[in-house]
Amino acid sequence: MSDAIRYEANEHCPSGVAAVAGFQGVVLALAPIVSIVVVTARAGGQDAGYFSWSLFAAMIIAGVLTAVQASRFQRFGAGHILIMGPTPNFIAISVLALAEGGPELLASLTVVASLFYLVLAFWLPFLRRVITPVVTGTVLMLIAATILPVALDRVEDVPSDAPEAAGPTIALVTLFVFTLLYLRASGAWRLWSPLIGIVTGSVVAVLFGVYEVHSVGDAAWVGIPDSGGFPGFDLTPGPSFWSLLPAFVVVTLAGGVKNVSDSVAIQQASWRNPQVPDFRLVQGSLNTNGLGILSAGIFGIPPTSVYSGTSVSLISFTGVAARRIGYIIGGTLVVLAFLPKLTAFLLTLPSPVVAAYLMVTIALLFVSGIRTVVQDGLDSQKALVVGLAFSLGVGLDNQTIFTDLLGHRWGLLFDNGMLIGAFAAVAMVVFLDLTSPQRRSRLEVDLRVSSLPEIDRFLQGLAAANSWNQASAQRLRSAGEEALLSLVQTGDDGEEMLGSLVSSEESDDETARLIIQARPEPGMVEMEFLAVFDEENLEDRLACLNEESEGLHEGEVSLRLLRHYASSVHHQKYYGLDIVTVQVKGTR
Amino acid sequence: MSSADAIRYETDDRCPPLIAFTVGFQGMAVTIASVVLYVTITVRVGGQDEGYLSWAVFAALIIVGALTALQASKIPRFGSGHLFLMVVTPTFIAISVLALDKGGPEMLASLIVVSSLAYLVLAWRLPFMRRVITPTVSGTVIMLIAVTVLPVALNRIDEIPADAPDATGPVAAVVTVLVSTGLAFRVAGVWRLWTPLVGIASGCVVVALFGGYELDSVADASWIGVPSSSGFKGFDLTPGADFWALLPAFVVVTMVGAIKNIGGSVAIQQVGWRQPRVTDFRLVQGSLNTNGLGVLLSGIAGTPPSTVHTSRTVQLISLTGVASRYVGYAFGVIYVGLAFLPKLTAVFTTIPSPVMGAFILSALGLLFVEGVRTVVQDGLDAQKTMVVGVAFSLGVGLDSQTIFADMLGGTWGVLFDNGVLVGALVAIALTMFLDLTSPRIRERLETDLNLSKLPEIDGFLRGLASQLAWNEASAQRLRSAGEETLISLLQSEEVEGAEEVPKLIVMAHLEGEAVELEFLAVFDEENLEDRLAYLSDETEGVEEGEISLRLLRHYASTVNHQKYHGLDIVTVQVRSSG
Repeated sequence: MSDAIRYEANEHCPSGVAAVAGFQGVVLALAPIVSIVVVTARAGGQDAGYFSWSLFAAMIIAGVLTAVQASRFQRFGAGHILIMGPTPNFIAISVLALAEGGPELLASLTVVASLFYLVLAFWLPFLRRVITPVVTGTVLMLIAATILPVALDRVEDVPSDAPEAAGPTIALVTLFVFTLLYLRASGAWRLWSPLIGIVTGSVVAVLFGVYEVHSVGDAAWVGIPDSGGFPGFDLTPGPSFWSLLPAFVVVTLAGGVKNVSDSVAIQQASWRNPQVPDFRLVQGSLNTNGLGILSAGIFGIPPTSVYSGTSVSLISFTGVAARRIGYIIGGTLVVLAFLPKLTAFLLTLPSPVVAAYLMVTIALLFVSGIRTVVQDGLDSQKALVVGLAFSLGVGLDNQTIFTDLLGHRWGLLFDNGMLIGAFAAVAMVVFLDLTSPQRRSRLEVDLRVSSLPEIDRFLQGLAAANSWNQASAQRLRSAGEEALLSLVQTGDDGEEMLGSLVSSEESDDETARLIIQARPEPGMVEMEFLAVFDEENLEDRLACLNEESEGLHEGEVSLRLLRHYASSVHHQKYYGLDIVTVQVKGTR
Repeated sequence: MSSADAIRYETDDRCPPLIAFTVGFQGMAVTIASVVLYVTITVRVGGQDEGYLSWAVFAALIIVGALTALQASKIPRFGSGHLFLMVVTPTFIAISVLALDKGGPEMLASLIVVSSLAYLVLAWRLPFMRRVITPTVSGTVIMLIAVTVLPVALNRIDEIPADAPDATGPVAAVVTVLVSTGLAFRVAGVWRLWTPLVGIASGCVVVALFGGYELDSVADASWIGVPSSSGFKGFDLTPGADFWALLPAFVVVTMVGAIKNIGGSVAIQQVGWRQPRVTDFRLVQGSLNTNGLGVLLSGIAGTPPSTVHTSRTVQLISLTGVASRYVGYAFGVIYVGLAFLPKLTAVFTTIPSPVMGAFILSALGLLFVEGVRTVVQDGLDAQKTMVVGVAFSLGVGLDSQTIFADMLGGTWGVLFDNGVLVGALVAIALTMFLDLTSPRIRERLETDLNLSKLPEIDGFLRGLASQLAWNEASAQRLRSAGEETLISLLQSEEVEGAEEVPKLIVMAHLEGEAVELEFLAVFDEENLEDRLAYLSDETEGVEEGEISLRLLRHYASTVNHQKYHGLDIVTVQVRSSG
């Protein structure tokens, strides 16, 4: 892909090229922005006033934030093309919020969730221990499973004089055209399969006589929606607020964790040669996302996020990664917001069509939950966490057990499947973390031979803590010594040089750091030796390491002696960072 | 296999009766709780009475005992000829509960009998069935079953004696879940097997503290006897909408179980011997037939189906070093004996409904995760994602609606509003759509593994390249890769030592812009088709080959060589350049 980049992020591309690429970006962004707002507002049972307002606000926010992402303004902006817009991850819970408390509740929940997003940026490593993939995946699956009945309710929402078969037939046609096209179409056609499905469903609705278009004729070509659509806030949070808040927070945090990888991915897609991800830009991108969610909350519309897949696709199609394109896309989206006829046309979509589209969105959300849950493997403990949390969530969502027992206010809260499922998953993950006998030990020293005594003491202590016998302890210490010597090679002149791992410019750094993380397991200790040649944003990099796959390649460190002591040795090289993972077996 | 050195009695060794019964007793100890518990849970959560429960437990114990003995035998077409413990399978709990809830024991019996026929079909048409019942389909159906049964399970939490406090059910259920989950997280080894029972016991104690535990039935039960025949309910010979709605789920679950049994039957043949052996597929077939018979007998008796339990069997053999199949006979005798002790059954019938509900909640959760694992086992590309997502969404969504009942009314409406049925049908339909519209081609050539056959192989590959409209350079690369593979296989020691000319099978598939060629050198033709069908299960005997691949790599984009007992497979991928 990098060979195909004609204009890198910081290069200036000609106006003609920028206009063409920008137009394509708008076309790609428009469909999800519009469809997500339509589906959320319609499925949430809101009126035309709110819909017009939310589409107007969504286009403005998406446009402004896409432009901010392209910039490098103070602590904001990714400095790359990152198209923004309402995210499908929030459809399900936004629909629930709209259905239970209207736009005011959605606004309050989104504003509060945005605060958690900002916390995420500061506390990423800690939150990753609690909001693990197991938790986020379970919550995503729970959201999908509990929202499905709400989506299906819309299938029969047709005029009373329409034939009984109208709703199901329209929904089925939409669903099948969308699905079959998605299964067999490729490239750009796949992106258009949702819209083709919607158009087909609308045609069937016309055939059944349930499509009403007169509101399109009444709408003006240019204008702004009536401010009566602006909902304001719900400042007296009730049980619905508290029961939905955990789901909003978890989905926001899950999105935040994903946004880190989105930002790293877009940086890697925008350059001809791989570069070390710039974590100041990642931070800027996260801040802009947080601002987007906060703005969405203030305006009472579904929360926004980056469309990383669309952005990477745009760069791949056009070969243009110049951030100027971001400004063009942003500006165009803002202009489009002032065309009410577009909004009026979208309002005419029949409910069964919207329901079918929503169902596919929820379907993909569910599978996204599956992927998240299995991404780090599913051992028996994680399986129990996922299984029990999901069962509790889905099971309780259909019951009134706690309402019968505790009364309406608190009972309603505890009979909320998503809340209980999320709480159960977090509680079990925290329980496993707190009671784990495999607590990590950590040592941080300079990457020098002179650090050997300190490392030796650390490993001696580790062996003693695990009650290992003399021979096993000696093996552990020898493995540590060899790992250190492999990472630091002494030159003929007696000066310590960073070994084969370090490029010449990296070795110019004054002091490289070595971090040793040891994790005891039954009959074995796993040690990670992290040689850090570029300390900038180190904690962020460690937190985001699995996102940084492009820069990864197998190291060529001489590990012969090390292998003599260790049962397994693994060496990975990242930009400015080497990791040697060593497993040493031991007996008591 | 690491336990091979520790085998004191191999499968065909005749071990002393005392040892056989001692090991058989240990086998009973690690399986009895789950056998009785699974039946009890199914029956109680399915809302059935104690008469049926006594009968179901009695029948399950007899069937498990008799079939474990049959598995140990080598009666023509039956038996695995190995020690292979049978248990009541938890996979069926969820759908059996649904069947009992909707149509009682009669419908459960009919459904199991009919699905046992599917089991037999699977044994004959494995490759075809595997194309239809893919992991995507079976995983989706398993997840759907778990989700749709959850409300039934949760309904039991409020079932407490009328004079017990309101909080009894929820508190007992929460304690059961907390204890069993906490233990499952932190207890290891053999103790882990007992965590469900400890959880259930804790829940029972809570109910007792609330004054809702009733022990009368234990005292009333006799020590030795047979249950009243009134527990046997017979069949439902007039299948209605619920029967047809549940049948696909039963068939899919039966087939999923059968596919797992194949892997288990292959694996069990590897652990019973000191030296590795070629898998005997007549015994695999025998094991499958016995399992099928077990499902059929369970249906006839109206009790939840039983199946083989590979991990418990391997565990027993590893712990005791005794793999003798005579232990299977002893195990059978012990189980049949237990069936005639009604007091044992009565203890399990006293477990309160909220405790059962809590237990099944965890079981359904794990069933759901099993579905997740199955769905992702072969990877989840964009297409499979859509199949799983749409089928699951439709299934869960429709299960809570009456859309089709409103539209079609009566039998058909009920049928199409059944989430599991619709989800299963959609998953199968989309999978078949993908299979039928796939542009991939499949070609096969079978010849001798001999240099003189090079022109025949070359002609086959030339035809393939021309069918794909490949240019001259790509076609030449494909033919050269074929020639190099043949020469590489001919250099194998097994070819040089073979008494007869081995067979060579070349299979070609189109994968995007590449052709994948599989060259199978067959040195032992016995049960070849079976072996090819079951190859993915035969992991024990596989090793990386050391074929000289230097030249081959020059032509191919990837080369992979695997050696099985009596079978070498070289997989070569050649890309088109235009």
